[in-house]
Amino acid sequence: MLEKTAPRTAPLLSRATTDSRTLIHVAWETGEEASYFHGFVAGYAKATFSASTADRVVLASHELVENALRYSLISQSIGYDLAVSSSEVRISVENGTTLARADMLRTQLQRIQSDPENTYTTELARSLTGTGRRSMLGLARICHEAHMAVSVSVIGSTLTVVATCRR
Amino acid sequence: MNQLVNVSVPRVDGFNAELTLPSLLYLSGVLAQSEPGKLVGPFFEDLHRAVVADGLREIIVDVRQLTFVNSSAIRLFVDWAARLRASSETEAYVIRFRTDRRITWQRTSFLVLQSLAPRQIIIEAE
Repeated sequence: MLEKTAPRTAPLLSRATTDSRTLIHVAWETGEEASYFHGFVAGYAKATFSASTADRVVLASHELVENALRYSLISQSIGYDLAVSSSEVRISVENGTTLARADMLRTQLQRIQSDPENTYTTELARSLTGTGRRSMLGLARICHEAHMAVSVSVIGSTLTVVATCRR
Repeated sequence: MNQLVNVSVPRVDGFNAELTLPSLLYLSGVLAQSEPGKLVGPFFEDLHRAVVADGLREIIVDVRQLTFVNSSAIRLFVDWAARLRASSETEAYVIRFRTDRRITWQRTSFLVLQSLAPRQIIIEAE
């Protein structure tokens, strides 16, 4: 279960020793860079999972967190959670949102998941034309490259995006 | 005059670009910054101009040690493909990417990248 944390001025990295499911929980403010977070998760994932699973976890973690940092409502905290069960790896990222943004995200996600490979190709090619439309390349990579299932839920003004794969 | 030797290599934490003449570029590390285009984009633009100015017909780009790029960074390669597509016949050259098929992003991204400029992009996968 995700902890709700108050906004902080610097990233908080903690490992839940009493929760057998959560491996890593991070909470921080919008405006931070995801690049230093990448190094931490990459190191942890490579030490914990097989090479291929680690790759997928790192990719999904980075893309979800980067999206949250970029699109979250200002002055809302962002949470990241990496959890495992005997069969599954689960990445959850939560951030502040509006209903309109959440609905748009659901619609885009349905489009991606209906045909991940073609959507990935389309989104990549769309980068060529620079349409200025919000790119879904990050989500498309999670679905197509990392072969992860992605779901979206909203409670109040908090959006949670979850990516899962089998171990 | 060799323009490639004058291309300034960017300094980015965790990422390394090394140009070896006459036409070999090593990229290694990770590109995960939120705006890699600002940090590394000008380098790729200068690189393209230098390759064209020097009249090179091929440049080899070894990315086997580039273990992760975010979606913003992938666009740097897409932009390069776009410049290739827009090149005239006299300016045209080939990019030969040396990739590692065990690295997830390389296995999927470069196939698609090649489809964007099939005559100008060659993928070697070990």
